[in-house]
Amino acid sequence: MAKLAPSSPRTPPGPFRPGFWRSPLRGPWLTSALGSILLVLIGIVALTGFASHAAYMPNLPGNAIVPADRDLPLLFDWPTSPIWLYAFNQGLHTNVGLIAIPFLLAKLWSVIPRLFAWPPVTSPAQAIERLSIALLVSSAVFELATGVANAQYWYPFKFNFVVAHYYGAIVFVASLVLHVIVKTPVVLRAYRERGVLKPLRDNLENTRPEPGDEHGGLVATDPAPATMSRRGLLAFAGAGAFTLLVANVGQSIGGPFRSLAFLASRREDFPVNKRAAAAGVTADMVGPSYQLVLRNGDAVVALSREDLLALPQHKARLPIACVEGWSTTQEWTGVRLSDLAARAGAQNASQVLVESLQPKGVLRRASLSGDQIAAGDSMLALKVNGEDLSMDHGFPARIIVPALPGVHNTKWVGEMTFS
Amino acid sequence: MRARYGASPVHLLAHLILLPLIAWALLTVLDFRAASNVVLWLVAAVILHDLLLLPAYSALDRLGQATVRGAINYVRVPLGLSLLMLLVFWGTIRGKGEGAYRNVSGLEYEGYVARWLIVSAALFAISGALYLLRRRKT
Repeated sequence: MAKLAPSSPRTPPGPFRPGFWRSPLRGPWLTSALGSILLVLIGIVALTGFASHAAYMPNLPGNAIVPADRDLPLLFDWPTSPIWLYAFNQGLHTNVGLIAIPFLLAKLWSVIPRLFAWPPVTSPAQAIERLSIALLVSSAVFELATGVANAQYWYPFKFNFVVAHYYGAIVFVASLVLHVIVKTPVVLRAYRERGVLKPLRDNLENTRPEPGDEHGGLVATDPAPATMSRRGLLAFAGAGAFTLLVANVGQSIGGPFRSLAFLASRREDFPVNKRAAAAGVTADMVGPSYQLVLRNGDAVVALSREDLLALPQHKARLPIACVEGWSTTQEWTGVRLSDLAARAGAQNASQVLVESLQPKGVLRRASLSGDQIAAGDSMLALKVNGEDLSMDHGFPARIIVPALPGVHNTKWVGEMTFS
Repeated sequence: MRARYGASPVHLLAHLILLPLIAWALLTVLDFRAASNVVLWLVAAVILHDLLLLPAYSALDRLGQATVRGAINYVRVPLGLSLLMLLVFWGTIRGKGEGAYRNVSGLEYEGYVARWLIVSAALFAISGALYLLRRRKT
């Protein structure tokens, strides 16, 4: 510690002094590299997140959790093929979200001296930029923390997860776009001056502080000897990402990988997302007196389970995937939705509102689009893997539509209103 | 402009376009239930990371460097990965989501602590083996 870092006598002590931060790894190149990796990962998480929001088709009756008049106009008709589309979308959203965590931690570590910059504000531009950075960091941690907690059935917050995660995502993406606009020149300069990959060639012995950093205040003025190379740091974050991926991804892929997912919350082959008892559906409600009611305007058709079993049966192997990222593929048997629409006299129905016998609670009803009714594999399933549905899987009848978000495959279907 | 504002007009324009969008999203979410809890979480997110988590692991790292000079990475990497798993899977490892999980599925959260410890032990074992191997070579 031969030379002391320059700091004005008014600078507060500790982390506000430039000499406090001593890692020789910090600098514009390292932060640029971590930022570039994160941009790709976060891009995937954001795109799949907004796609999932659209997949719930909030513009159909009963589907919106975020009211339509307070939503962004980013909705589109969610397709029914490929059948694995929603499973893939949510597999990416949740697992890439996990992968992003160690890189975000490393990125935040790489820029921590900036939090303690002194004086805190030197120009209007810097003040406004610090505000947007605060929003960016805050919303990034918020999104990852709430998403991770939700996937583990842990609700340590009082707000509605879907609502807060959605608006949080808008804050996050908007502040990220700002950050990218502001920092792209800095990143390009770092790559131009130091090479995109060249600093990765340095082993531990050759790891020195980055030369010159007149704009950033990231490079240590009083560097300690390196204990890890820059490629070592990136590999460390990558190892963290790999560990989290292995711990979780099996619940998204299924098959033999499921038991490998040693920390995932859904390690069973055919998860139940809502038990009959928890939903308030009793044996009486689904006993011999059960009737499925089909409505189309004033016309009403009532069908018992025997009536349903007497109709032409369709069989298909389809995945069902939860917004939380797990998915399972099973062989379903039941009556095509298009056949039911015809029974109700609504051959060209543009939508159907499906209501569960579940007496109350969220997601007891969901609407399907005309395309979803018409899709060849869309059905009111009566059996799974050749056996009658169990109570917990929706006996006597449940919706199965390809590529539909799991919870919209309504269980214990009581009424279907076509229009 | 640059002299007074401190950056290019693009900088100002981008902020003038996107900050109102952010303000709209924040005001809208505060219109739903538990607004104060959202604010608390947004503020706590920054404070917990920047002023608690980061200083805590930096102090731990410094302590480690003082204790195991020269071999720090053989401790730092497995311990870092183990703590990362604990942080990210706190809900399953500590059984925080157990009640809600049992309610929806009828099953119990089981074996998470054991599996986390076994994988952590395996990471330390691999790290230790690498350390011995490399020390032999040199």
